[in-house]
Amino acid sequence: MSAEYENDGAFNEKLIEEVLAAYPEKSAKRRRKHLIVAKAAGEEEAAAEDGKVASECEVKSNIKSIPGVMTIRGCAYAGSKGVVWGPVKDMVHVSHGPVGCGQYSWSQRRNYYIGTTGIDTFVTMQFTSDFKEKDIVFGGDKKLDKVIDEIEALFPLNHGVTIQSECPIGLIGDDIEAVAKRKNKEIGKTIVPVRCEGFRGVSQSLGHHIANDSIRDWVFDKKEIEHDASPYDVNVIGDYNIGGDAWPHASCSKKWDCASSAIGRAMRRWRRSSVRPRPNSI
Amino acid sequence: MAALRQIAFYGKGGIGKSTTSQNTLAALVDLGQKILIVGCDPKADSTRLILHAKAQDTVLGLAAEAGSVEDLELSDVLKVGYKGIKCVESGGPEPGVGCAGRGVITSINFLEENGAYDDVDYVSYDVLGDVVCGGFAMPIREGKAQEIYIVMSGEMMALYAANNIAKGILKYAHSGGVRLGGLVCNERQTDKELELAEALAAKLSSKLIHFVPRDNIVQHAELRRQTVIEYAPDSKQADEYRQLATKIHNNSGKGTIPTPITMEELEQMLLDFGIMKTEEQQLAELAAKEAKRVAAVAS
Repeated sequence: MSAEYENDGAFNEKLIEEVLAAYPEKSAKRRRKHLIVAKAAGEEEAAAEDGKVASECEVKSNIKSIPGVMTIRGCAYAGSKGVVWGPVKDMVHVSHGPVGCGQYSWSQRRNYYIGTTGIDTFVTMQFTSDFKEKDIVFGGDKKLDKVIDEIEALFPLNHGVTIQSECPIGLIGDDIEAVAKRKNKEIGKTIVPVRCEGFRGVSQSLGHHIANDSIRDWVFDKKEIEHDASPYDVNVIGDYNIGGDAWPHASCSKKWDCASSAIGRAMRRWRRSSVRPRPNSI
Repeated sequence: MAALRQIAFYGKGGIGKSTTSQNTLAALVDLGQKILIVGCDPKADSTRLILHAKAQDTVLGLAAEAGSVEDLELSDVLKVGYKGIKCVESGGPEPGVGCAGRGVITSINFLEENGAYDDVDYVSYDVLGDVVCGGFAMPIREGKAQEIYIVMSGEMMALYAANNIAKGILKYAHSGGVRLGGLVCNERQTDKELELAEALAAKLSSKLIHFVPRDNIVQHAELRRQTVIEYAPDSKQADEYRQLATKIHNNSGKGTIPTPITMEELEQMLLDFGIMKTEEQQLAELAAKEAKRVAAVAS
């Protein structure tokens, strides 16, 4: 958008009314909350001084999807594997359950990264434990054990494995935490069990939450990290590098000669609060 | 302050887990213990005798109304009953639908995350009959029940079920540290019941922690929605439950890793006790009966 853009508030308001007129009344009421006219420059400051909000988009993140109101989102597995863990390029993410979830999320979203896929980075690869009837009925921990062993053998440069639970894992009550602990002891790598079954929560949002909690519980303070600290280090939490968004600020930190590390490459969404979509910024 | 003790009662359906556990816990509270009962049965009948009513607000029932379990508060589902015993019921689907096992998982996670385990000395899980899926084993995973008490009787199927449950405990004993605390025998007045119960306990590398005699006063109390401790505190049966409570209280850290036996071993054990007759014995008896009948007809 150019700096000389003129915001014709009146025209936009009429346009919104025209669109909403085509909706049935109940849906129009709901949809109206998503279509807000931004105040012109100058009006914003005035409103802020008065203590009023300049413009508030009421798109909320952690609520149930309503058909027709374009709030459709993915499930908790999508939030965890698709959004938070999937972009972590140097770990292997196993879609634990039947093959469909992994198959149709193969390749991830906006998947730019630096590395040699299949050797030290794995984002666009599909790892699945391919649950069959037998695994549902008799439980799948032994299979999971074998899956992790095979990953270690085939991709030895991985920096760890995450177990992204699909719906059946939660239903049959498989003890993936026990497997994770045991394999961590055996092979010495970070193994993170993530309880992100699709049916949990009201939408993708809980998947973000669960994934972030799993970082806190299974990654933090578990290993010794070598790091030469400087007085100008910046820790960035909440940075996507899905579409190469992180590269500009990595080059900035090179310019300013300080270290910056993105922890978890995750965007935290707090439960029960609305999130205004904000541009990528530190 | 002593560490939180977590125990669980398992056993064949209808054997008397809910009855035994509630009566025992009512006696335990008199030893000065703060207790939380977690009902893990969709029938939601694990706290009836303590609350003097069937629990209406179950975790899953309310969660379904509110939308999801994340919308629930602990105070909605935590009720207080006889002598301050706290009670929570998981609830679950009605018979024939859904997945009760998943319900137990969801409910126990909810309790953990919402601080239900703060400020109690004992947590007791009452789990429905046969541990048919991973969900019902939730109470015996790491960080939950430390000792399991299997309620059984001298009936063969109850013995078999107890042995089966021991297999489940064995699996989690290695990964999570749960132990078999002991067997509780609810008398059914079958042949050589006490000896059988003790024999099975020995085979499982455990002990028969108490033999609870059959007494109708338990049923009388139950009809009035009370434990025997409350209904007839001076009765002999009340004393039996007090003994069991004391034994469990002193059993901390004394659980064992069970050694389940095969069906053949179980049947051999029953033969050894003369309960099951061998084929030769049965044929001999049939022949004797037949001879008698022939003689009667002939005369």
